Amino acid sequence: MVCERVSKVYPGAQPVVALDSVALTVAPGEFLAVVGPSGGGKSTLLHLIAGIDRASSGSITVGDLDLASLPESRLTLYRRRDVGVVFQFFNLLAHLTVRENVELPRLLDGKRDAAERAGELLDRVDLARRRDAHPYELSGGEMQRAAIARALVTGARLLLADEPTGNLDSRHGEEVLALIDEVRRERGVTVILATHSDAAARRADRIVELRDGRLKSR
Amino acid sequence: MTAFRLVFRALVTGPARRRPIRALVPVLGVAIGVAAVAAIHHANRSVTESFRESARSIAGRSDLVVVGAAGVPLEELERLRFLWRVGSFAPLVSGNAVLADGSGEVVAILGTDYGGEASIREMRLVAPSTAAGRLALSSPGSALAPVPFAKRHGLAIGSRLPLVVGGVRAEVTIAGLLELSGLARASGGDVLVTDVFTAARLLGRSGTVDRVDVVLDPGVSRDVIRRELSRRLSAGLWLEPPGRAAEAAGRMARAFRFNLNALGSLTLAVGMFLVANAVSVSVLRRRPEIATLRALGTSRAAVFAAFLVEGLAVGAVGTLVGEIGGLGLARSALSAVAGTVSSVYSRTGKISAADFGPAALAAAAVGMVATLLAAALPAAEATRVPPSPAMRPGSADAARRLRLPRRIAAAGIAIALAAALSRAGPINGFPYPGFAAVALVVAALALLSPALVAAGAALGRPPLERIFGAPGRLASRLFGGSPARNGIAVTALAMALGMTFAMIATVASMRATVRTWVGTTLSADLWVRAGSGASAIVGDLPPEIVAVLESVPGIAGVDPFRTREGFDAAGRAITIASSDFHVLSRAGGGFSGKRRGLIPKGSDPGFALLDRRDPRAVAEAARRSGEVLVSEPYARAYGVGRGDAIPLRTPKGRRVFRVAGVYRDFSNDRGTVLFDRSLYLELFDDFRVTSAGVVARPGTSPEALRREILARAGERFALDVITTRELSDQILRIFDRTFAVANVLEGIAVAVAVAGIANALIASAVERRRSFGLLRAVGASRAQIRRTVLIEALLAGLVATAAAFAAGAAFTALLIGVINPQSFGWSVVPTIPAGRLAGAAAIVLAASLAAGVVPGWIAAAADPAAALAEE
Repeated sequence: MVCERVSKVYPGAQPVVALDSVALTVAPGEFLAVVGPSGGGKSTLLHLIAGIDRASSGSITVGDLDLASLPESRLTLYRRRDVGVVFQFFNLLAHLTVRENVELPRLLDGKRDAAERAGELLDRVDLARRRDAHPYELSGGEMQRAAIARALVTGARLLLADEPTGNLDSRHGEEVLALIDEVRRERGVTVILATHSDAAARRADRIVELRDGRLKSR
Repeated sequence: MTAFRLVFRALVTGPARRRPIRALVPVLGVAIGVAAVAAIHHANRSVTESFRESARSIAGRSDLVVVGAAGVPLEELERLRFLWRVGSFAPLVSGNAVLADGSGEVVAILGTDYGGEASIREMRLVAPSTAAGRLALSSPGSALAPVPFAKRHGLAIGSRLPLVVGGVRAEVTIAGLLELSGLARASGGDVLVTDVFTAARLLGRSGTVDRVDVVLDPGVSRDVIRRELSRRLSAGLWLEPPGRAAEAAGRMARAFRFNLNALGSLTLAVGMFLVANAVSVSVLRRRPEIATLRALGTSRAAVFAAFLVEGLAVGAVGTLVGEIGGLGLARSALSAVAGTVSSVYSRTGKISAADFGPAALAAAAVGMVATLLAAALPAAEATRVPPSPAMRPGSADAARRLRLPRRIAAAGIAIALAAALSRAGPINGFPYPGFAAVALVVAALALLSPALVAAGAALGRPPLERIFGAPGRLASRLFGGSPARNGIAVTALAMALGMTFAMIATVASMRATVRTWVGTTLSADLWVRAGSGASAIVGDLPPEIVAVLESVPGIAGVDPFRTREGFDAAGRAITIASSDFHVLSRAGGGFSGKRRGLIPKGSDPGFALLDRRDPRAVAEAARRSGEVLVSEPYARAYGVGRGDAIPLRTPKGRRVFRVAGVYRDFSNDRGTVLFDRSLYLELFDDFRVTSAGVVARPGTSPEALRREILARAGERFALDVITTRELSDQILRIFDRTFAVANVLEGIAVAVAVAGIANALIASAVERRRSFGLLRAVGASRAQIRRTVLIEALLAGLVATAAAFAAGAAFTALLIGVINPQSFGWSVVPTIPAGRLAGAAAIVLAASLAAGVVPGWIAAAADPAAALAEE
């Protein structure tokens, strides 16, 4: 994943520069932690890499895909197949069961093995027993484990985690980080973790800091 | 399980299952709209089909019909004898009578030639079966009755049936019973079939029949016979294709039916806004889910399809429920519409219920299409939700606020287009451009509504804060904070209320105009007409009634008024009327009403004629010069005015008449040409009288005169003698009954719209539960939260009412200035019924406030602990 001179400006009466000429390269299989204070641009950077928002300038290349040049329909496919995202507030769909939440991205891709893959991943994240529960019946840690399973179900090689422990107590936060680390090693996925927790960042291979939209190495 | 099913569950069925009541509100909106459309369509179709069926029963198998400007003279039948070589023919005399058996029902009398009849119109005799019995069929005073009619009135062969025909008492003997088929189905089966001579005697027709139907043998060229007949027929007679009467019957009251359909559609339009509102609320509420789904790779098409399918489901269930409701409503709608049509258009045609199927199908199609259209816009909005879950609540409204200038500009264009369309003429007799202008005003209202919400919130904040303190301020902030969602609810209410205001103003203006018209044109003291026991006129009085009336002491003058169907030179059906212009000019037509206090204060004495000249002088001048007056609907329909020449068909052939003036007339929308009686008698040789106006000598009491007239009528005549005041009241009663359906439909539309406000507020309360929880956490009491929501509801009602006044003014201008004149040809003097408008506004504001009660409870129940936990 290569970011070259990536900037993001939110227009308005007083435009906000969320990212300012960010350059960043992440190697396949690498675990990168992006740290920095709130409002520094961590979530914005992850949203741009996840293809759920577009940069104002610069380019982001994932594998051989230049995200800036992708039309919306192709960007949708990129989100569906190539990247998995874990959010701070889980973003599970309240009206679907845990199993259905996990199956959904693979079903969207027309794959017939969605149920099987979801079952495997729910086993892996230790939620097999809770598969038929709805998200509002789960604890925070369980919801985040379900979100990790959903992010991995398509076989994405890039996992983005935006403050995945931000809404959890320390014990559950530790469990989630351990799980992310484990699946990265098992599956060889590239992980970019946005966090303001130094403890969480220490699990990464490399740490960079985003402050006022600018990137600094640590 | 497919991905789409999961997407659909996540966005639609899941939330609906958790909150079924909210899901039911738009279903109810569609159901009410579909029920109204189905019931009105059914009533309208019943009217058309009844008239058509009656016309078809009379036309039978005929290939050609001979008709004339004043019927077909009997001696003309001699000229048609050659037809026996190539086919057959049968004359028909028709009219109406009132049963004097206590039922007061109206029955059609059809006089035919039994010999020629068999080949033209189907008549199946059930009894008598013996040859001797059949011989009695043609004896004078005998009649055949359909079996159901006979059963209903307890008639058997040999029974005597007393009648009042054209104000004269008479009697027929039932000589045979008919199966309810063919000719017996005319007038819905309320018919007595006689031979031509019996009917002519009963109906007072000497020497003419209404029509002669011709059937040709197989292989005979219709064109050859047509040419031959045209050559042989006398002046004033012509040939018509047999379907002409059915076609004309189908067109009867079409403007009335069209307008009623349009009004029924208003209910559905409000239902559409409710659907748009509900789907829009769904989209707004489910933005996080939509964003998440989009972030996971769900396509825009899938999101669009999910919301569209939701609309489709709402439409399907709403339509189904609506059809059931429509079936229930159909009977009362039919009775109301049939009452109006009978009073205004065809006084005697019996209207029977048609099949509900076609009306149900039409309403289902309209309901489904309307729902899909209503759902499509918010569904498209859903596809524009960005896949960023970081979207904050209210950001969609912020994005829309940025587009306000564009919406205001588009509204301006819509209003300009509406203004341009309001100047266009009707298309094929229908005010389509006028209705398009109404639709554009609605579109402008919808486009402007977010700006109105923002402006209403900004303007309302200072006084609300002053009066209610913090809840007032908070309510205006909350209301203005969701201009998109509140805009839809405000549009629905403003549209329904605006249309209600417009109908109140239009109906009040029409009523005041009709009242003035009645006061200025009914210049006699008493009105004499054939007795029917009801407000409708059934049958024409015999000519001798004029002499009878003139012999009554205390009578200064008698105006024998005649009205009948006629034809212009192109064969288009019009109304021909005649009045004694001499009596009219002496009695002071146009002014005498004021004497009796019938005309509202400040009314205009120049009202009777459009160009405001003295009607007495114009009538007298027209009498002397042999000119005619034309009614306003005639002038509008055929584009003629004072001084123009109009060619008409008369028994003496085609004649051209100069128009002396255009008079206001609300008695029919087909258009009337009014002759002086002497000119009419000379041309039409028709001495019968539809109603006679009697002018009393000064000092003679109308009541005493009435008693004297009835005494002289004696046993022979059955007359209705009513005072001008009673006639005026009857006319206004018919007017009020005509608009009773409209009032009910408007009430439904406003109720549906208020439900829309409640729906929007409930959604808003649920969505902002966390905000309300936080308010509770920082010290707001439950009462304060409830008050906040109530004030927000009141603000929504106030903004909608203000918008409704503006939209209502535009709708009123279009109804009074464009749609009404183009539909009916009537020009109406605008009146502003301030009291009634204020009353309607007050009711809607109270209803809006009531709509805030349940959302207020929901908001006040927000849990502060849960809100903080979510934080």
